[in-house]
Amino acid sequence: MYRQFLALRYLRSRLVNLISVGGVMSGVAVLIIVVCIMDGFQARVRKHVRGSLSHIILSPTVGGDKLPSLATLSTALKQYEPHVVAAAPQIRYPLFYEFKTQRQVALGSDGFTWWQMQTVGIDWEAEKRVSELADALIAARDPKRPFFVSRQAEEHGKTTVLVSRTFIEKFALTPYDPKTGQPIHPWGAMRDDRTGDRLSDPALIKKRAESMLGEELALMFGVAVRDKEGNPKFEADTRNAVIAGVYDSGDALEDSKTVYMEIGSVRDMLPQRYDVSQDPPVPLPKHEYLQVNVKLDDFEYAKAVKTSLAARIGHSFIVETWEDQKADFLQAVDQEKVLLVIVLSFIVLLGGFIILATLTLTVVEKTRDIGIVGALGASRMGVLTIFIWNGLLIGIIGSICGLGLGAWFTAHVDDVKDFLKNWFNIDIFPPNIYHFRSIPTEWNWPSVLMIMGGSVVMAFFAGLLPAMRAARLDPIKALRYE
Amino acid sequence: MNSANASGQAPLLEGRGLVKNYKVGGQTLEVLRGVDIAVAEGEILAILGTSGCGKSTLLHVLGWLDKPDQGSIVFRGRDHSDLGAAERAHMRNQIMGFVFQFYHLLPELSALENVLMPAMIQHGPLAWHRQKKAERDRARELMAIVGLTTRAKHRPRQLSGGERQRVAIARALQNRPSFLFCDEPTGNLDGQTAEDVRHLLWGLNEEHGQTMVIVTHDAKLAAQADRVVHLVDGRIATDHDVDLVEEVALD
Ligand SMILES: Nc1ncnc2c1ncn2[C@@H]1O[C@H](COP(=O)(O)OP(=O)(O)O)[C@@H](O)[C@H]1O
Ligand SMILES: [Mg+2]
Repeated sequence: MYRQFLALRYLRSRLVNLISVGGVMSGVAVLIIVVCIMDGFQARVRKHVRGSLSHIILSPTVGGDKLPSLATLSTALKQYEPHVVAAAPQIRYPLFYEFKTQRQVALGSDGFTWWQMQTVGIDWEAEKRVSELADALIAARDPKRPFFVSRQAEEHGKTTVLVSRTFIEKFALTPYDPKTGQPIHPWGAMRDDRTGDRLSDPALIKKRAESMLGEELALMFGVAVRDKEGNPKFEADTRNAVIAGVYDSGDALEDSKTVYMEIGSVRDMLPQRYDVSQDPPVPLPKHEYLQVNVKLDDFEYAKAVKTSLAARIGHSFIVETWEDQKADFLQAVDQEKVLLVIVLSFIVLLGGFIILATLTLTVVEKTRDIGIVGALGASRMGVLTIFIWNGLLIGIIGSICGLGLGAWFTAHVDDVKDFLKNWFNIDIFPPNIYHFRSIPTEWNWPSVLMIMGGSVVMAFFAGLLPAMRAARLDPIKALRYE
Repeated sequence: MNSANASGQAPLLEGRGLVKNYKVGGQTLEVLRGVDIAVAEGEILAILGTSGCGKSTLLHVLGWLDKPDQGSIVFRGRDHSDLGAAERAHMRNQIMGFVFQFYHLLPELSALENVLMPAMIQHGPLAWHRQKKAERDRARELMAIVGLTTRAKHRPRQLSGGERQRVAIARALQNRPSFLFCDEPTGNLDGQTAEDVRHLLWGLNEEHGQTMVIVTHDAKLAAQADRVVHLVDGRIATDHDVDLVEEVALD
């Protein structure tokens, strides 16, 4: 009993032990906080990326006549694989948007700016079944038909888009007013021309495109085509777009670059290709889709389904899971976690060195005590355990305090973030870098217990050396010393 | 002549041919050169000798604190010289009680906790849980015997020298040892306090028959023991009844 008793008493009587406890505590707390944030980050990345990417992605490698129609493909997929629940077509195409903003430096004195966005053409009804976009829609005139603004607009072939909340906020665009139930206020060049608001002049856009992009890029983006003599001829297909809805998928970084449009509208804007073997060249039909997203009844089967589909349709499609598409990113996040844990473990190690130093001091100071308990019948093993317990107690108390601090911080991490932002104007978690508006955390007991256990083990080894030194002391010599 | 033989009973503890050397800077210091000594049950044995003659060393060897280079320790007729370190620690805890010149209390513990220390060393955590009350009662009783009932919660540094030595005596008695080994128990105390402590020790012997070995360079203190042996040149010079010495002194 005396081992624990004396260990506790020595711990209490020396203030310097507080430093050891503090060292272990900060190490454990920091590790817990970082692991919980990284785990939360990973979990949310997976959730959102998966939500917007769907389980399996088919990218055609063939074009023209060889590309199966969507209907044929859907039927075939369901026939090949019972796990396939739905398939939806997409055309992803980068487009330039011009709009008025107060935030960004406007290109012209008129306050208009240009922004290139990944425009994703979707079929709403099909998309609803393969992704979580419908859940991410936070404002729309008609959530059932988010691209619909008005009959009038429809008759006039208006192009309607869904933009992200991040985008709206980034450019300080007029936000949607949920109280009035009004359609999202159209802005800038995307305004309805019939309301009399400013319209983009197609000629002006061409000139800007020329000066901004240069020949090759313009050709690449389909703003220009080559004429018969082979010279680039600017043919920008300009439209006026109306914001029909706002979404927020939770992935702020992706959101800020992505605009959704009806698949037909995007298809219209794809550059016209010609069969140049004919004279005059014959326009080729545009692709029905450039990507097909497939949802399975459970993502668990994705790997197996990928393999089996690749065997069947691999000649015309690249078959990938969403994890394949984001492999680099997911791996980077994993890697970062490992690296952080390794680097931050040095804080715990530092705690270990403090324990080693303070305990060595305690042993020297307690030389006489060691002789006394020896005379009273303590064995060398007993003396060893006194100081092992001393180190262990520091580890255990430090770990528990670290657990408390880490848990509190993890629970209030967004408050801490807001506090830093409000008082010191430090943004520790800018959404455009970290994808998310709030800091995601996930309490992971196995990791937490491993961190705590590791620290206690480290405290044990840190205490071992001074304890062995204490056990080697000759009690007689210790007693003679006055 | 051997007092144990004279009183007709086997000695409780015997040291036979004890030799102890210290090596200091390549030289060998022969401290004990073959000490034969016997302690009978219930007696107060004083070991008298000049400072530095090896009294403490002899006491440590007899008390299983230190190992002799040669010779054996016989307890209740059994040779215990081949005991391992852990067993010797256990014997110290159960059979020996030590009182030192410089008290040697643990400074971070209260007086009562100091007294309880041998019992805490004896019991593991579980046994301690069962025995705690009995051991505490024993410690309080001892604190009463040494006259420090009201000082139980005080730290050693809040006590005077005499009080500290009383706590040390109570501590030495906690596990009901067969022997009380006192190394200059009054060496650090002034006249009256020394006499009080001596009175306490002699009282323990009278009332409870506590066997004691007292090491001292103070002839007056030794003279009050039942028996005195002289340690000279690493050997026991005389071993006779104090009454004789007193008679000689009276002459
Ligand atoms: N660990 C040791 N190493 C070397 N010499 C020692 C050691 N311990 C004691 N001595 C020497 O042994 C002699 C006897 O010491 P000690 O038993 O303490 O004498 P006493 O108690 O009679 O004063 C002294 O000369 C002392 O210096
Ligand atoms: Mg001495």
